[in-house]
Amino acid sequence: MKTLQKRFNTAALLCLMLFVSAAANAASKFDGSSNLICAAFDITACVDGVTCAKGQARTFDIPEFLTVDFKKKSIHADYDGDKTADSPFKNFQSTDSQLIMQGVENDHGWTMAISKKTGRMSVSSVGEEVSFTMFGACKAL
Amino acid sequence: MLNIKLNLKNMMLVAVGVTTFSVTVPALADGAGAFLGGIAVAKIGHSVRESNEAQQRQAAAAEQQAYYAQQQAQASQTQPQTAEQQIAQLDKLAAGGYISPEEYRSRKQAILDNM
Repeated sequence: MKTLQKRFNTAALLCLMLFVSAAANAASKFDGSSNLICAAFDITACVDGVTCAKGQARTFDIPEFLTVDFKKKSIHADYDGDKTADSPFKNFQSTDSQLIMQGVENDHGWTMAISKKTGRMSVSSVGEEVSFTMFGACKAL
Repeated sequence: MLNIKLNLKNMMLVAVGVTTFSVTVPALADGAGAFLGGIAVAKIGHSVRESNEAQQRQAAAAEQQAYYAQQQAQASQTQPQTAEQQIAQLDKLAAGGYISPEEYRSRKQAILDNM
Protein backbone atom coordinates (compact mmCIF):
# COMPACT_ATOMS: atom_id res chain seq x y z
CA MET A 1 0.00 0.00 0.00
CA LYS A 2 2.85 2.32 0.91
CA THR A 3 4.56 1.50 -2.42
CA LEU A 4 1.38 2.34 -4.30
CA GLN A 5 1.11 5.65 -2.42
CA LYS A 6 4.74 6.39 -3.19
CA ARG A 7 4.22 5.67 -6.91
CA PHE A 8 1.15 7.85 -6.95
CA ASN A 9 3.05 10.71 -5.32
CA THR A 10 5.87 10.38 -7.83
CA ALA A 11 3.43 10.43 -10.76
CA ALA A 12 1.64 13.44 -9.30
CA LEU A 13 4.96 15.25 -8.87
CA LEU A 14 5.92 14.48 -12.47
CA CYS A 15 2.56 15.76 -13.72
CA LEU A 16 3.00 18.93 -11.71
CA MET A 17 6.51 19.45 -13.08
CA LEU A 18 5.27 18.95 -16.66
CA PHE A 19 2.40 21.37 -16.07
CA VAL A 20 4.73 24.00 -14.59
CA SER A 21 7.17 23.50 -17.46
CA ALA A 22 4.40 23.83 -20.08
CA ALA A 23 3.02 26.90 -18.36
CA ALA A 24 6.48 28.43 -18.24
CA ASN A 25 6.97 27.70 -21.95
CA ALA A 26 3.59 29.22 -22.77
CA ALA A 27 4.37 32.31 -20.77
CA SER A 28 7.79 32.73 -22.29
CA LYS A 29 6.65 32.47 -25.89
CA PHE A 30 6.67 36.22 -26.44
CA ASP A 31 9.44 37.27 -24.11
CA GLY A 32 12.23 37.38 -26.66
CA SER A 33 13.63 33.95 -25.83
CA SER A 34 12.07 32.26 -28.87
CA ASN A 35 12.15 33.46 -32.43
CA LEU A 36 8.77 34.39 -33.86
CA ILE A 37 6.99 34.05 -37.15
CA CYS A 38 4.53 36.85 -37.81
CA ALA A 39 1.73 37.25 -40.32
CA ALA A 40 0.80 40.69 -41.64
CA PHE A 41 -2.96 41.27 -41.72
CA ASP A 42 -3.89 44.90 -42.33
CA ILE A 43 -1.76 47.64 -43.78
CA THR A 44 -2.49 51.32 -44.14
CA ALA A 45 -0.03 53.33 -46.19
CA CYS A 46 0.29 56.96 -47.19
CA VAL A 47 2.40 58.55 -49.90
CA ASP A 48 3.06 62.24 -49.40
CA GLY A 49 1.05 64.38 -51.79
CA VAL A 50 -0.61 61.35 -53.41
CA THR A 51 -3.06 59.47 -51.21
CA CYS A 52 -3.48 56.88 -48.47
CA ALA A 53 -4.54 53.30 -49.09
CA LYS A 54 -5.63 50.41 -46.95
CA GLY A 55 -5.25 46.74 -47.75
CA GLN A 56 -3.56 43.48 -47.00
CA ALA A 57 0.02 42.44 -47.62
CA ARG A 58 -0.85 41.00 -51.02
CA THR A 59 -2.60 44.26 -51.95
CA PHE A 60 0.78 45.95 -51.71
CA ASP A 61 2.77 42.98 -52.99
CA ILE A 62 4.83 42.67 -49.82
CA PRO A 63 5.65 39.47 -47.89
CA GLU A 64 2.78 38.13 -45.78
CA PHE A 65 5.11 36.44 -43.33
CA LEU A 66 8.16 37.69 -41.52
CA THR A 67 10.34 36.19 -38.84
CA VAL A 68 11.83 37.88 -35.82
CA ASP A 69 15.24 36.52 -34.88
CA PHE A 70 16.12 37.79 -31.42
CA LYS A 71 19.60 36.27 -31.42
CA LYS A 72 20.55 37.89 -34.71
CA LYS A 73 18.52 40.98 -33.75
CA SER A 74 16.91 41.03 -37.15
CA ILE A 75 13.54 40.81 -38.89
CA HIS A 76 13.64 38.63 -41.95
CA ALA A 77 11.31 38.23 -44.93
CA ASP A 78 11.34 36.22 -48.15
CA TYR A 79 9.76 37.79 -51.20
CA ASP A 80 9.37 37.45 -54.98
CA GLY A 81 10.19 33.76 -54.78
CA ASP A 82 13.90 33.71 -54.15
CA LYS A 83 14.75 37.10 -52.67
CA THR A 84 15.31 37.90 -49.02
CA ALA A 85 15.32 41.08 -46.99
CA ASP A 86 16.38 41.81 -43.44
CA SER A 87 15.80 44.65 -41.05
CA PRO A 88 18.33 44.61 -38.24
CA PHE A 89 17.19 46.29 -35.05
CA LYS A 90 19.60 48.26 -32.92
CA ASN A 91 17.15 49.02 -30.17
CA PHE A 92 15.28 46.25 -28.34
CA GLN A 93 13.26 46.80 -25.21
CA SER A 94 11.04 44.49 -23.26
CA THR A 95 8.43 46.47 -21.38
CA ASP A 96 5.75 45.05 -19.08
CA SER A 97 3.44 44.24 -21.97
CA GLN A 98 5.39 44.67 -25.20
CA LEU A 99 8.51 43.65 -27.01
CA ILE A 100 9.68 46.72 -28.89
CA MET A 101 12.20 46.72 -31.67
CA GLN A 102 13.42 49.74 -33.59
CA GLY A 103 15.65 50.31 -36.55
CA VAL A 104 16.65 52.75 -39.25
CA GLU A 105 17.08 51.88 -42.92
CA ASN A 106 17.31 54.03 -46.04
CA ASP A 107 16.31 57.15 -44.12
CA HIS A 108 13.23 55.38 -42.77
CA GLY A 109 12.68 54.77 -39.09
CA TRP A 110 10.61 51.74 -38.07
CA THR A 111 9.20 50.34 -34.87
CA MET A 112 7.72 46.93 -34.23
CA ALA A 113 5.74 46.15 -31.07
CA ILE A 114 4.65 42.64 -30.13
CA SER A 115 2.26 42.00 -27.25
CA LYS A 116 3.84 39.66 -24.71
CA LYS A 117 0.43 38.37 -23.79
CA THR A 118 -1.24 37.80 -27.15
CA GLY A 119 1.51 37.97 -29.76
CA ARG A 120 -0.33 40.68 -31.66
CA MET A 121 2.04 42.75 -33.76
CA SER A 122 2.06 46.41 -34.76
CA VAL A 123 4.61 47.91 -37.10
CA SER A 124 5.11 51.44 -38.27
CA SER A 125 7.61 52.75 -40.75
CA VAL A 126 8.01 56.44 -41.45
CA GLY A 127 10.07 58.30 -43.99
CA GLU A 128 10.08 61.35 -46.21
CA GLU A 129 7.56 60.18 -48.79
CA VAL A 130 6.14 56.83 -47.75
CA SER A 131 4.84 55.85 -44.33
CA PHE A 132 2.85 52.79 -43.34
CA THR A 133 1.41 50.87 -40.42
CA MET A 134 0.99 47.12 -40.35
CA PHE A 135 -1.01 44.97 -37.94
CA GLY A 136 -0.65 41.24 -37.56
CA ALA A 137 0.01 38.39 -35.16
CA CYS A 138 3.02 36.30 -34.19
CA LYS A 139 3.65 32.73 -33.10
CA ALA A 140 6.75 31.25 -31.48
CA LEU A 141 8.90 29.15 -33.78
CA MET B 1 57.69 52.05 -64.14
CA LEU B 2 55.46 53.51 -66.81
CA ASN B 3 53.19 50.42 -66.62
CA ILE B 4 52.84 50.79 -62.85
CA LYS B 5 51.85 54.44 -63.28
CA LEU B 6 49.27 53.52 -65.92
CA ASN B 7 47.84 50.76 -63.72
CA LEU B 8 47.56 53.12 -60.79
CA LYS B 9 45.77 55.62 -63.02
CA ASN B 10 43.36 52.91 -64.25
CA MET B 11 42.67 51.76 -60.69
CA MET B 12 41.88 55.33 -59.64
CA LEU B 13 39.50 55.70 -62.58
CA VAL B 14 37.75 52.44 -61.64
CA ALA B 15 37.50 53.58 -58.02
CA VAL B 16 35.96 56.90 -59.09
CA GLY B 17 33.53 55.03 -61.37
CA VAL B 18 32.46 52.64 -58.62
CA THR B 19 31.96 55.51 -56.18
CA THR B 20 29.87 57.45 -58.70
CA PHE B 21 27.77 54.37 -59.51
CA SER B 22 27.11 53.52 -55.89
CA VAL B 23 25.94 57.07 -55.22
CA THR B 24 23.52 57.08 -58.16
CA VAL B 25 21.90 53.71 -57.32
CA PRO B 26 18.45 54.42 -55.78
CA ALA B 27 18.40 53.76 -52.09
CA LEU B 28 15.02 52.00 -52.24
CA ALA B 29 15.59 49.82 -55.27
CA ASP B 30 14.36 46.24 -55.09
CA GLY B 31 17.00 43.89 -53.80
CA ALA B 32 18.46 46.55 -51.54
CA GLY B 33 18.30 43.95 -48.78
CA ALA B 34 16.45 46.07 -46.26
CA PHE B 35 12.90 45.05 -45.42
CA LEU B 36 10.81 47.49 -43.33
CA GLY B 37 12.68 50.56 -44.56
CA GLY B 38 13.56 49.01 -47.93
CA ILE B 39 11.51 46.71 -50.12
CA ALA B 40 8.34 47.18 -48.04
CA VAL B 41 8.54 50.95 -48.50
CA ALA B 42 9.40 50.64 -52.20
CA LYS B 43 6.63 48.16 -52.96
CA ILE B 44 4.01 49.94 -50.86
CA GLY B 45 4.91 53.33 -52.37
CA HIS B 46 4.75 51.89 -55.88
CA SER B 47 1.44 50.16 -55.17
CA VAL B 48 -0.21 53.25 -53.67
CA ARG B 49 0.94 55.46 -56.55
CA GLU B 50 -0.20 52.90 -59.13
CA SER B 51 -3.58 52.47 -57.42
CA ASN B 52 -4.05 56.24 -57.25
CA GLU B 53 -3.22 56.62 -60.94
CA ALA B 54 -5.68 53.83 -61.81
CA GLN B 55 -8.39 55.57 -59.77
CA GLN B 56 -7.65 58.86 -61.49
CA ARG B 57 -7.81 57.16 -64.90
CA GLN B 58 -11.17 55.58 -63.97
CA ALA B 59 -12.51 58.91 -62.74
CA ALA B 60 -11.36 60.64 -65.93
CA ALA B 61 -12.96 57.92 -68.07
CA ALA B 62 -16.23 58.20 -66.15
CA GLU B 63 -16.16 61.98 -66.50
CA GLN B 64 -15.52 61.69 -70.23
CA GLN B 65 -18.36 59.17 -70.60
CA ALA B 66 -20.72 61.48 -68.71
CA TYR B 67 -19.65 64.37 -70.96
CA TYR B 68 -20.36 62.35 -74.12
CA ALA B 69 -23.73 61.24 -72.76
CA GLN B 70 -24.62 64.86 -72.02
CA GLN B 71 -23.49 65.93 -75.49
CA GLN B 72 -25.63 63.21 -77.09
CA ALA B 73 -28.65 64.23 -75.01
CA GLN B 74 -28.21 67.86 -76.05
CA ALA B 75 -27.78 66.87 -79.70
CA SER B 76 -30.99 64.82 -79.67
CA GLN B 77 -32.84 67.75 -78.10
CA THR B 78 -31.67 70.25 -80.74
CA GLN B 79 -32.14 67.86 -83.70
CA PRO B 80 -34.42 69.47 -86.42
CA GLN B 81 -37.91 68.06 -86.80
CA THR B 82 -38.67 65.80 -89.72
CA ALA B 83 -41.18 66.87 -92.42
CA GLU B 84 -43.69 64.48 -90.95
CA GLN B 85 -43.31 66.06 -87.50
CA GLN B 86 -43.57 69.56 -88.96
CA ILE B 87 -46.79 68.70 -90.86
CA ALA B 88 -48.24 67.03 -87.76
CA GLN B 89 -47.51 70.19 -85.80
CA LEU B 90 -49.06 72.25 -88.59
CA ASP B 91 -52.15 70.01 -88.50
CA LYS B 92 -52.52 70.71 -84.78
CA LEU B 93 -52.20 74.44 -85.32
CA ALA B 94 -54.83 74.37 -88.10
CA ALA B 95 -57.16 72.18 -86.05
CA GLY B 96 -56.84 74.59 -83.16
CA GLY B 97 -57.68 77.50 -85.42
CA TYR B 98 -54.33 79.16 -84.84
CA ILE B 99 -53.62 79.42 -88.57
CA SER B 100 -55.93 79.98 -91.54
CA PRO B 101 -56.44 77.31 -94.24
CA GLU B 102 -54.39 79.43 -96.67
CA GLU B 103 -51.52 79.68 -94.22
CA TYR B 104 -51.79 75.95 -93.62
CA ARG B 105 -51.59 75.16 -97.29
CA SER B 106 -48.68 77.49 -98.00
CA ARG B 107 -46.70 76.28 -94.99
CA LYS B 108 -47.37 72.67 -95.86
CA GLN B 109 -46.24 73.29 -99.44
CA ALA B 110 -43.09 74.98 -98.15
CA ILE B 111 -42.33 71.92 -95.98
CA LEU B 112 -42.89 69.55 -98.89
CA ASP B 113 -40.74 71.72 -101.15
CA ASN B 114 -37.87 71.53 -98.68
CA MET B 115 -37.88 67.75 -98.64
